[in-house]
Amino acid sequence: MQHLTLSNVARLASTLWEALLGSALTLDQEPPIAARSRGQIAIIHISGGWSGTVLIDCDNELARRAAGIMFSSTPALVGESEMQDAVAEITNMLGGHIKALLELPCSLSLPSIIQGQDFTARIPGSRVLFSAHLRHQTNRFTITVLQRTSTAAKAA
Amino acid sequence: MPTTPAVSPTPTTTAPSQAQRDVINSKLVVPFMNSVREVFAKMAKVDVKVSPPHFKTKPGSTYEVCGIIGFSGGITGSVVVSFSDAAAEKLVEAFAGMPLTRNSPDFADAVGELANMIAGGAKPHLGALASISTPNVIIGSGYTVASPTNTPCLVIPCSSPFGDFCLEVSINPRN
Repeated sequence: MQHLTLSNVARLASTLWEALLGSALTLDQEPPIAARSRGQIAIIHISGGWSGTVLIDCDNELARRAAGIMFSSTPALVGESEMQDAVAEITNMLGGHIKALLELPCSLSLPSIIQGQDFTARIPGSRVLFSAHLRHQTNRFTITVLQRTSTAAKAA
Repeated sequence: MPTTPAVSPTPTTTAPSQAQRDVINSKLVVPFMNSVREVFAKMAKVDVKVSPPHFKTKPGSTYEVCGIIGFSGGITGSVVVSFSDAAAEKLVEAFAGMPLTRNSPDFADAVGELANMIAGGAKPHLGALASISTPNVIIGSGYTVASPTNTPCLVIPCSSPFGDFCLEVSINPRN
């Protein structure tokens, strides 16, 4: 739990990004100023000795580029399902790395991908620990880690 | 620090194979069908009718209000409870005992709680030890909720006097 910090998660994400996609991410100190249209968010849950959620917010251009590299395809020819699979794969790997940081017995759910322009996401019963705002060239990529605060879901 | 695992790209087709169809069997689906009926009957006094499930073969459109619960442990996956705006408002009112507007945090909490109860009601009958996550609630329009395409998704259509909704169950049992 003590290793679950913004800097460690940003470093893990950048290492993963570089290994998968060939170039590193840089950490921005501030969130993006300009609002942008939504792309994809991916959500994966960690349960066990520590319970919480990792949420990745990624614009479509970045998802398309990642899918192009991961599936050895031209980004322009990448379909929506491939973009979703690429973001799901990245989320799954990042979730696994974050789980390892916790040094507690935990398990991961499958990622869920929400894609669209006009939606809001709420995670009741959780509090935000931190958000890491990362950048790949001109594209933004935000990782938010939330910790479960309620016991309702466990009790159900 | 953990090492970076190799990428194993997931298939991009969405039609489930026979092996995938076998994965989601009645042992995994019936508990959700029973749970959704019981939760709405007990907690909202609403009679919900469940239609035969079918596989989701296209990303397709989802209703406007979704509660998502993740499963981990002996099984991994997620269940999405997806309502139209109108059905969500009326079902939430029946559940909460008061009208709640779509923009209110209490509305999202109520949708999340319904999803939590449905998943929690099914969990003991899934044949494996599993944990369920806190709910995620997505509200908007023109968005889709997807799981990785190598995980089959079964849609359980539901109808109520307040409108239709559905459950989307994506589960990978571990052997």
